[in-house]
Amino acid sequence: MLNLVLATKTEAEPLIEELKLKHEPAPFPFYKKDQVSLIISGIGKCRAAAASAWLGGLGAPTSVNNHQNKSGCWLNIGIAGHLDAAIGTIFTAHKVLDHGCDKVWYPPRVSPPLESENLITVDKPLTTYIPNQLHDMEASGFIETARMFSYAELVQCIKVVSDNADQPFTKIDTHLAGSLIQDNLSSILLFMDHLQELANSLNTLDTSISEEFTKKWKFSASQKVILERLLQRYNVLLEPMTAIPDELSHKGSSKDILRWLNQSVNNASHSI
Amino acid sequence: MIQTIYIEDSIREHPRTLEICQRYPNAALISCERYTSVFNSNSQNFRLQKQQPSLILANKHKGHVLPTPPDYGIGGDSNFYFSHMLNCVYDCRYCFLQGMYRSANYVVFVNYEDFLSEIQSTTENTDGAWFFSGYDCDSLAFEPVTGFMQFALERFRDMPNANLEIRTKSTQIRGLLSQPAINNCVVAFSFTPENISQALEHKVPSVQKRILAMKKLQNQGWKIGLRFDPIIYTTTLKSEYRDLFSSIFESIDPTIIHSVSYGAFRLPKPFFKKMVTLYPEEKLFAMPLTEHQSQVSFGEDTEEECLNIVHKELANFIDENIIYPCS
Ligand code: SF4
Repeated sequence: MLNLVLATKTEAEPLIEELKLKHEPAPFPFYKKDQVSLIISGIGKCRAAAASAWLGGLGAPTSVNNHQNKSGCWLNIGIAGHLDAAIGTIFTAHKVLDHGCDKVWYPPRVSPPLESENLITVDKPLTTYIPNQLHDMEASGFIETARMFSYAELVQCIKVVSDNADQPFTKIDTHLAGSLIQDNLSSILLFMDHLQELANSLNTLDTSISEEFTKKWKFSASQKVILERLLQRYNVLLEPMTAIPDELSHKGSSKDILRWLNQSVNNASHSI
Repeated sequence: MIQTIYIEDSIREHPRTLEICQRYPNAALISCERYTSVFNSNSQNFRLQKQQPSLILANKHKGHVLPTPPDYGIGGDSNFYFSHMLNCVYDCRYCFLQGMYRSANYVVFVNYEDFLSEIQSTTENTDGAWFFSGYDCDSLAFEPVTGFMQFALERFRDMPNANLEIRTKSTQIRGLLSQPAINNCVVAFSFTPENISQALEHKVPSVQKRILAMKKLQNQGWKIGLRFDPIIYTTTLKSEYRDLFSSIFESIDPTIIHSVSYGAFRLPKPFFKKMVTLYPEEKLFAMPLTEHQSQVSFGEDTEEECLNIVHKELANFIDENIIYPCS
């Protein structure tokens, strides 16, 4: 699952087009195709947080496997100011500071990295640039919220420099914002692919068969956790279970199922 | 190769910080107020970070030297441990660090002097204390970068009343070989049989390479220790350990081994739970393990069987007086 959070429609358009995303009704402008969702939050950290929270709520857990719950990728993409970086330079953020409350996050740098830089999220545009900092208005709201739904490594910010001391910010030039994202589209897409590869490296076991079990028998919440782990162990010690074994079809209760699975894994070969 | 270095503001200009950063000219340097804000932050995934760990350079303010858990030791009455580094360049699947820390990044505390002065003051209050290195990291694996052991050994040379154990699976012994052995230091190598090592001790030098490193050190007069902990149950455990001991004692002289210890595979329950979440496909964790008093293990009977076999096989080579079971 890839979740993209952008502040404005102009920044989002190159991605909507490239990824062939389709508009869907939602409280925010929202676009989707298969495993990719894109939301346009509006400007400011509160709106970025609200949009991320709404998007996170869509991906409610379908499995008790923690990795499947938490391995969605999250990207905040947009433009930012910088004292002296050239306009059009693309960065990821390696340190995000909220200018209002001094809270700091350190998005882990994932390789192969784009160039990275500090980022400060401000509530309104500053009149001067702080050295060695990207300046934006959304990242802190995004990162704090998105990390509730995924691992820190998979929550990243990509910013393209739109203004600097030589060409300072006066008002948002919507056309410029779109063309800066468009110009850097291949780097952004490459980074997305890499992030998704990283997320996939966590999902090493397929236990989606658990849904068949829970449809057929009634499991309590704690039994579902046990079922999931027994199915993982079954996969590791015996073979991947792709269908409910015939000998289970006559079993009456979830307890019988868990007992059978437990016996099967305990009787399996136990040499490393 | 390290691509990212986080540096605590207070040690930004520390000579060791500068020296270590110089080794990685292409790394991004990121400042932080305290290392804990990076290392302990929420939502990190140890497994993802282990693919490309970053380095965190920090200052340790207190707790440089701590008492070991009871029953940890090799015969001494006063036992302490210290960690100039948190986390390890190797990736043993049974390693408790995966369960203990949120982050897989390497933390190096650059104020080595403070560790050594606390060791010195602890020594003054005890008689023949032991100091164990390699509790929260491998003692030697990152030595070419940190140079900590080189620094520590010079000080231990002048503290004959303090004993040092350097516990390692590394073959980074160049620094040790470049100086005469010291009497109050034991270089303790950890082993599991070759098949277990290949399956579980990722990135660790092979058993043969470690044996060779031990041999070189022993030939130069360094005291050698052997550590067989954890022992992982297999159906062919006896022959695996018999082969391992034969290989080791073919190469090194068992009569001048300083000490041998062994212990069964055990993990605190919360650590085990976290490790299963990180590596659900790991066969070791899928085996029928039991829980007893918040510890996960192979169970008392299997454990006892394993320990007896290893002890018996060891006793064929080693004087019983220097064999220490770990509890
Ligand atoms: S060598 Fe030791 S510290 Fe390093 S990963 Fe293996 S068990 Fe852990």
